[in-house]
Amino acid sequence: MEGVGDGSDKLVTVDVRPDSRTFGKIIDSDSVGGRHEAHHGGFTDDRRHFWVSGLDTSMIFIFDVASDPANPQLVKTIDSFVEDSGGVVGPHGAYALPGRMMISGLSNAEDDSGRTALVEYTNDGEYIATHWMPTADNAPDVEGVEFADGYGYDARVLPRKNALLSSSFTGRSNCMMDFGAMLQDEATMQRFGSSMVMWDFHQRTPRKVFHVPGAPLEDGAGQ
Amino acid sequence: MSPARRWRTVLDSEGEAFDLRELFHGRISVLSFIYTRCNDPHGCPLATGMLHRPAWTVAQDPVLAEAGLQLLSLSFDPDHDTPEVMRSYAESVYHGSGSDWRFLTTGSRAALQPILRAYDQPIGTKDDALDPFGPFYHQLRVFLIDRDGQIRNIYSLGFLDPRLVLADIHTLMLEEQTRP
Repeated sequence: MEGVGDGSDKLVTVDVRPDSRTFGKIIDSDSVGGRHEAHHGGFTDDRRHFWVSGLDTSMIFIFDVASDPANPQLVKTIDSFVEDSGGVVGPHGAYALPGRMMISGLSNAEDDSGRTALVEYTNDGEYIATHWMPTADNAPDVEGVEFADGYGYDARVLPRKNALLSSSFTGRSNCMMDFGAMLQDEATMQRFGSSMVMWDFHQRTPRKVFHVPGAPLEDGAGQ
Repeated sequence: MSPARRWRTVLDSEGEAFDLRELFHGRISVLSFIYTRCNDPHGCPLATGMLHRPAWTVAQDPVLAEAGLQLLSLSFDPDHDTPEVMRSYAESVYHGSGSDWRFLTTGSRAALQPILRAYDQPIGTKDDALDPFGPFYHQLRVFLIDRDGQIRNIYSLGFLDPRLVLADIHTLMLEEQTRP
């Protein structure tokens, strides 16, 4: 936030050890250097690294939180997300899969709208694949395609059901504009997602699109 | 996803030394990391149990058998899991025939460490060496490796289903058939 500290996004560590003399206090702060709207984050499946997505700049920051949990270290920055993914913009959720991370995008480089994709990387930060959200153009035969807006936001997996559920929000053009101005602009207010998608997780193909008005945002899938 | 790492340090249950590269070459492999003292029902017994179905299926399915599928269970407890112990473990957990399931170990911790690092398999020692679940912390991970030595999928606790592993193996075989 501008005017706070050095103005950069940070990973801040709070001591939660009840017997520690610094219990409840900030014991470490790691700046990523700049304002990226580092936003949602997630641990890798082995809980050794914490990924934080920079919504504004499409950069992803990977911290080692296992070597010294009280002093996380920024060990890698992915600055090629847009290029890697074939045009996805605004990495948002970071969700752990075995040996890999699934990043749900928020937008795209072509028009900054909400049309976006899920993007996979290895735990080492190597790009694997992009799965675009279904639309009438790329998935005309999927059930519920009439509700498919192609928007994204978050994702969760229930492996024993072979189910991947993704949700939607809005694109970069809305997300980064003045909130008050956005509320006054009727056309802009139309550009919010109203869909959730059930995928065949193993095949990474959409099975069904649900109509969920009002930007469904966070997913939660019980295990 | 990435190349399966290759090291020259594994021993089979007869004590014969192998280069992992030789074992992977030209074979579809399912590799799991285990230790025989593990009693955690969500750990090594689960990993070994889950490999029974592919092992059995290979024994019954000539197509899979012809495809050269092999199962590899590699110990990360070389101090205890000598080749002799692995042989005994193999006899206790698998009595089938017709599939190629090897139970491997290494000659020392020093020989093991590069393998663990390469496969992102951190192992921690518990404060209580007599913990009823076993003396180590570890994360269950099973790897599917293609004939070119590429890791093609990783299965952890919630994702390790033998039907899924078999489906992935069939997918690899279909991919090979359609390769120009």
